[in-house]
Amino acid sequence: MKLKKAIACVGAAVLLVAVTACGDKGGPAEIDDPKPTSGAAGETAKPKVNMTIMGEFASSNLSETDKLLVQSIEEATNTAIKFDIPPSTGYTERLQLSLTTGDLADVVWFPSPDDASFLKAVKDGVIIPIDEYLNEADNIQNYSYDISWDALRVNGDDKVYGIPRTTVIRSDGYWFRKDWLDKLNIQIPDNNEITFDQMLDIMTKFSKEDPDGNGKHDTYGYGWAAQPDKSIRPVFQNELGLYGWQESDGGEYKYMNPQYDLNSDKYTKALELTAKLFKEGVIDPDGPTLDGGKVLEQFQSGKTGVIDGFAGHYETFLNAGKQINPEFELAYVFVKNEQGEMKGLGQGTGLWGFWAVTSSASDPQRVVDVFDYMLSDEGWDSIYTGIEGHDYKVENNQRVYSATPLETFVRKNMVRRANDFMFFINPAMSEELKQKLVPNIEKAVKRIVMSKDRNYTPAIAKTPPYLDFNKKFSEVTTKIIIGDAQSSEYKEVLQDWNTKFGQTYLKEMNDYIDQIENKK
Amino acid sequence: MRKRIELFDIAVYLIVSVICMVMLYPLLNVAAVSISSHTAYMQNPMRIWPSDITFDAYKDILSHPVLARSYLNTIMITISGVAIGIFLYIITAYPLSKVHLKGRAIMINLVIFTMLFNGGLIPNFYLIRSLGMVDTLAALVFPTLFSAFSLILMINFMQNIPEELEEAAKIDGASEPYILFKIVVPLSMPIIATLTLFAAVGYWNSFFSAIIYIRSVENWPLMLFLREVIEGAKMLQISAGGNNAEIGNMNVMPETLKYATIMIVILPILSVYPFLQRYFVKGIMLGSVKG
Repeated sequence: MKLKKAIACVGAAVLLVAVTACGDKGGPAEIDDPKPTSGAAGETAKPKVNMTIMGEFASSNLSETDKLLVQSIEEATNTAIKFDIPPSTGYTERLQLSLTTGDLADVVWFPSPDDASFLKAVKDGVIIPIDEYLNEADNIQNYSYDISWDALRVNGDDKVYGIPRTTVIRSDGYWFRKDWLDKLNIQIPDNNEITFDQMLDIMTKFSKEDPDGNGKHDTYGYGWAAQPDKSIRPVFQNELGLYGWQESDGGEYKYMNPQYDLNSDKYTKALELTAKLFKEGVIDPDGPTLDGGKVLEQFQSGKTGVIDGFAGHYETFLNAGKQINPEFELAYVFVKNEQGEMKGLGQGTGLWGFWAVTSSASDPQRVVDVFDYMLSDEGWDSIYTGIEGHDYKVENNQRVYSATPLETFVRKNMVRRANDFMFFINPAMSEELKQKLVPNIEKAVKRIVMSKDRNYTPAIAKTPPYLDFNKKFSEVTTKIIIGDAQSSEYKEVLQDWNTKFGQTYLKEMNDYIDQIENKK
Repeated sequence: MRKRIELFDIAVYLIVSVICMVMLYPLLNVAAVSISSHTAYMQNPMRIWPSDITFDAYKDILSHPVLARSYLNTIMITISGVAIGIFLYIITAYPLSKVHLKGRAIMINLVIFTMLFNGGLIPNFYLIRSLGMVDTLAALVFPTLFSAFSLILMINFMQNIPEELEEAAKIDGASEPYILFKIVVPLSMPIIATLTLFAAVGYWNSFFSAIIYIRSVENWPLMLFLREVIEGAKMLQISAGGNNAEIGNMNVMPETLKYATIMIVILPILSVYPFLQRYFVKGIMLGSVKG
């Protein structure tokens, strides 16, 4: 009897697996049955095309507003779009597996044009150039930064290998605890701009004068974090005039970054200042072990009084802070550099990742058309404001928005328009609040000084000996900041770097910048 | 006679207590934060005693649409994987435990070969895809169904069962399947319990194969869900680089919710582990020494 039971149990288990194996594979991320088309003129004449988009988003499930948006895009472009959204913790593995096995979506998202798997896929012909398909894509052309296109020409053949997922290039200011400023009777000018000395003074008061009034010495002026690679860097680089790669004042190289300049003390001064603030407890001593999320927590919980941040997050930050302390108030402040100028470093190429069309795409032109539609006025309106009936209603010819939609995983993360910072402002926001926030975002956009390197990495910097040596920079920087080494030791490492790799690195970088500058 | 407490004993107790505290602290911290309010967590993230007690985090996470489904998936994967796996171990180990079996050495060497070499990720993916298992729970069950290490443990255990018992059964007219399931299996319960535990913990904790083989959220196992809850936002932050605007646009889960998820996920294993952990120790020893 027991034998029969055992066999029955195993049989049941096999059946269970068989049932699950043959189960419904359909996920909510799939929109397999779009409504009949009635979309934009010209699109309806084209045959219906199926396409799969593989991307990294905050949720692997499409939210209601995401589904409605996708449906509207499908109707307008006569397509059937399916999303493949791997878990964000395994996106890299899934992407590499797809590229290796040929199990490809029509279009896939890559985090950066420097991504090794992307570059290999381009060489292998798995990712195709899209120049010919961009001819009719006026919206993509109009709403991308020029520098983004240069970044996507990665194969030495002057062809473009991706559709930019643009971000707005800015140099953000700082969030201050306004209630702390009020307690310490510190006034911020109406234009929200202060000098660097004022900033240092405020941070010192935040850390020394008990701004939260709890009678304990438990607050810090400034909250900062380690880089994603766990290294730490000097703080307040904008204010100290460190704007990456710029034309040099003379010397062997036309373009120079103070970080690599043996003849400049700008970078070592920044290191010294960070070390001094660290030693005095003006900046959070936990900073080197924190990530961005924890820095925000420290700020909201009242451990730090200043963090850098995006002006458009006012409502989110304020509400989160008020939940912990009802007196929590915010002020957004820009800090001028030592010369009194409103300048900030603009980094990168305007890309927040990009979409690459694969060789498996059944109709690459239609893939590009879908992205072009998203950036058209009609598509952009749906992306920004949502879909009528769900995200807003029209009453008396006015849009009345529903409560702030939080689950815009796909809707708000597919595309961006260059310099359109209003995208980050919730359309439901009151005019009064908009008036308060928009000038700050505008200022963050206008004050940028672009680093001329455009995230270019010279070939020598990808070699194993260089990558090994690079750890010395991280090591000495950390030691100086936490007070275990003198700032002069940075110059010693730099000298060593210069002898071993620097000349090739600097020449390569200068050649690249020269070439880009001459194109202008 | 009363035993004298020596200085050495005190040192041992002290060291063991410290090690226990080090092990227990994270668990107590997670448990305390999971039932504290978010404000209380922000005031002291390292707490081991709850404050401003609330079960809101549990309420929120239990109503998460993916949690229930992934829980069910993991239960199905674990039950089916363990049942089929143990059955296969039994029917494979029994003949291979007979020293007179022809070709036994070749078979065992082939099994050992798989401990040292395997096809790797890509060939495995091709295989699973060819079998039509991509995006099914079967892809999470079959590839890890059979472990050479576990099989060798079982072979060694079965070799220690006295041959005379089987001979006596044969004289009484018992067939081989009868001997296996009526005599050998009941006598092999310790190793079966151990391998069941090994396999169950392995299936319960696995997430990587789901990243590779699973496409729809409906088929996520529990550990993948947990990983997404804990690490998902961080990965997106890394993707966003230092771009504050894009980072703020993400759906970051409150810590209390993360901690409540951890508690819910580890609770089943935590409940049974104290009663079964002796099998772990036994399992390593079983069959390793023959006398």
